[in-house]
Amino acid sequence: MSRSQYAVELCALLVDETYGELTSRIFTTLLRKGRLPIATISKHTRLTPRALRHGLAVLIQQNLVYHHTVPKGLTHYEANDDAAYNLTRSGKIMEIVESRYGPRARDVVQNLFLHGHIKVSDLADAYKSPQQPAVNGKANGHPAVNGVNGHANANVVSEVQLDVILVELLELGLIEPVVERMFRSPADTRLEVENRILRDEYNGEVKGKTKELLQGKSKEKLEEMEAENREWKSKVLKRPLNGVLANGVNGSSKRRRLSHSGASINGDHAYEDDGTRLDPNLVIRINHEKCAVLLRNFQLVEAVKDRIGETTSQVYAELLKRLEKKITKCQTPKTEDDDQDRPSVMTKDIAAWLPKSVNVALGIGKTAVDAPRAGNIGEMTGSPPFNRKRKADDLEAKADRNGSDDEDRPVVNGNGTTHDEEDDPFLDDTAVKPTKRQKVTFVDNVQRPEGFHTKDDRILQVKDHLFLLEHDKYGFVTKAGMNGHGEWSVDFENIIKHLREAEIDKLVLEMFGPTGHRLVRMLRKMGKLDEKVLKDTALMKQKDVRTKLAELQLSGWVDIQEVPKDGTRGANNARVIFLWFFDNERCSTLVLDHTYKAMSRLLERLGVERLRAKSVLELTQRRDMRDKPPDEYLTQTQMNELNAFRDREEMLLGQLNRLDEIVGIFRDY
Amino acid sequence: MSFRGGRGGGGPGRGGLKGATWTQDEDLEIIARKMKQINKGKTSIFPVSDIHTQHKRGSNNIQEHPTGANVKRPKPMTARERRQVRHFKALQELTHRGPLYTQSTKRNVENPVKTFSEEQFNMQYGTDRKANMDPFTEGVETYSDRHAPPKNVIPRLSGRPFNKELFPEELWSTLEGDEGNQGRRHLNYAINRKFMDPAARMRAQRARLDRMEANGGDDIEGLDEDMPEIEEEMDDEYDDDEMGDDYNAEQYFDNGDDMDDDGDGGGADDY
Repeated sequence: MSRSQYAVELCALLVDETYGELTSRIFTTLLRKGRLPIATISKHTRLTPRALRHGLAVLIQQNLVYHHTVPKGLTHYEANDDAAYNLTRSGKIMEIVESRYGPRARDVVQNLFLHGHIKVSDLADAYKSPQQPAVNGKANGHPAVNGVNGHANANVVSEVQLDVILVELLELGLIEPVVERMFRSPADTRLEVENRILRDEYNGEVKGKTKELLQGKSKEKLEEMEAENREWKSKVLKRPLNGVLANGVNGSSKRRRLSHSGASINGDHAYEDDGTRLDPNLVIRINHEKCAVLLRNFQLVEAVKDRIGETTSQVYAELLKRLEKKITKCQTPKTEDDDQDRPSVMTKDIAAWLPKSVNVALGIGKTAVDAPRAGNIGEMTGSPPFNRKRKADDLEAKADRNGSDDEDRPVVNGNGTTHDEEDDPFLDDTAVKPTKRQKVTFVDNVQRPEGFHTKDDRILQVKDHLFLLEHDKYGFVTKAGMNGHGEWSVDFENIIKHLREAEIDKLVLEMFGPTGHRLVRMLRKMGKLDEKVLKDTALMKQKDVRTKLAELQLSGWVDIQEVPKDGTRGANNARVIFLWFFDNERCSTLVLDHTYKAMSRLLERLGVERLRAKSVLELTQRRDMRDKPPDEYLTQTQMNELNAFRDREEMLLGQLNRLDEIVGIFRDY
Repeated sequence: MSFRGGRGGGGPGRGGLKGATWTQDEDLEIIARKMKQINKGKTSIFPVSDIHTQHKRGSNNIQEHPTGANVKRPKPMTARERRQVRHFKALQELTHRGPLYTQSTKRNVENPVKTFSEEQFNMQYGTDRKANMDPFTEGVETYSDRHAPPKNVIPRLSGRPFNKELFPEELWSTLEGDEGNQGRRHLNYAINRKFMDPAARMRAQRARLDRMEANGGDDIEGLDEDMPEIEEEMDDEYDDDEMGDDYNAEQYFDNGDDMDDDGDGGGADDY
């Protein structure tokens, strides 16, 4: 696998930023030279074997390096650049965890980040004895100055609470049990599986046909292994009692309360003892693949907010949240029965789970088609307040609406007529209501205060939002079935493709202005084009077209293909057609590369800023000072300097996080 | 450009690369003259690209950069982003204070030298801080230096829980801290030996030689990369034998630190 220069640079910088110079040097060498044994690393880095072993131990602990020992005895090490890149995401992941499960869970996740992978019992120990060096770093030997402690103590987690938190995170998949396979590079694992199959089933011989069979089999086996890993419950839980587990998978009262109590965003949960205990010997770590799923969800919700509106995005967020448990990672290899397999969620579920604070009546648009309809309802049901409310909301919603939805809206309503038995919120409102209510009332939906709208209205309005989502150009949801007021699934791949295009468009517009953007869009839509055609379609002067295209070509966004009409291909042969083309894939790699470069520059800049503010930073890092608020001991000038540095640092890191989103869109999601 | 295309290649005799001549480009001169005329002698160092001015003329939230560069400010951060950064920084700080972080040993951080080869690259690391300090700026140790955060040269693995079975076998001794113990054992031995009577010393030395032979045999069979370490060990011993190490002034100051570092790194020591 070849990585670009900037990707390597960025990974090296990230490791350096997090774990320091020694590890970074080893990691960079591995990244540049491929897999190496210790002796060779030592030759390349001039580090003593002792330092190397320590460094490698850290890297393996954090899963930044794969290792593989052949039976003969030599161990090879290989850099895991995905893990290195994931170091940037730690802040985001902690933010997600905090917003969902509260600061205590965030603390647990933070500890997991610090440790790389760790046994449950060790994690519990780390909490039990705050003096433990494992958690508190340099706290040992200097009990008077252990401030890290102070930090940990703020969120003391008892063993029981820890178990509950961990089970919850495990259930969602944010953390995963560690198996030995994770420390071997995927290629090694595959090779091993293949060899085993070869030995067991084919007696060590491969001929033409069996080779394909072998590949298929090893693939199956690998998938099996992965699935096995996901089945953590059976092995791990000591006493699967009533609590989260017994009815946790779908429709447990506990899960439900957790996931849509509005309080969960700010406050802690009451982590009560429900008898769930984890096996103390279980080794766990953060599951970055799953985290990427959550980050992708957030990205999609943002996109919906941009394109459709706030309320719709909230509905969408809820839908994605329902789905996320069934999605283990972002990029799944394509299979034939992909469309059938896609997890789906029902409208009524979304409506039920959506926090009460979301007013779904907002942001559903209707303009031209609405007028006669409203009259209709007025006649039939005689419920003017309802109508008035909706109209007011429309006015309000109009603000956050852009052009594309306006086109969609008639379609939404038009489509509604095809499923008239469940759609059509207005016409048969009163008629169907009683029966529907019985149908929709479900299990433990008890003490929900009846809000401004009845539950049925709510469902129908949610459905309107979903229709909006379905008919958007991006196709945020796709209809999967008719149960429970319609089932919805999400074709992530397609949406991400659209997002990528949008991102490229944004960049091209920014860099080459409206004309460049226009040309690129045309090339994308119409394929390979001759310059003349391009000129005519774009309604631009040939000279302008040429300059723009040359500009675009120089920076690699578009390119030319030569198609000779005959065999001679001289330099000034008029019988050659030059076709301009634009390739999304190519541009994706281009954007990615630029982003890596920008990210590594940001980190380098951060280093420079640190060096500049060194005098103040050294003060704040002093062991006796570092846990006191800096305004206690710094003078005004120093404070100013520190604040200026912190502002810059925040800006740089914030920008890093933003760029990471681009990387996510173009690479991971 | 290849090496041949450099100064030599450009000369008239060689013919070399096309276009790589060192004569002056007249077109460029003309352009430069024109630009000077337009700007009346003043040219900004970072001229504003006209694409951007065209494109963004309508919006007035663009502030002119002092140097005239076309720099746009990113939009202000949202609360969520701030939280992300805060968490990231908190984690980073904890990691840096933790035992796994290793500080930089670069020779000059302020003025990094351009490096061309692996050797040069490696040269800039691994320097002894005390040997390379600048006596004019940072030389004198002050009282408050005792509060300076500890600097790890190698990660301190002692006291941390590890799951050995997940690591390759050759690192197990490192994780357990045996490696550090080796050094410690060696030190103890050196200290003890000073106070031994000659006969006992002979006996001990013989035993030691035997042991080393046994060890050496193992090592030859097993891991090559252990060799340098054994050499190191032997060097130290040699020094000890020579002069008892009493007059080595540098040792007097430095060894103390090294001992700490080593102990931290490997041994399961608790001082």
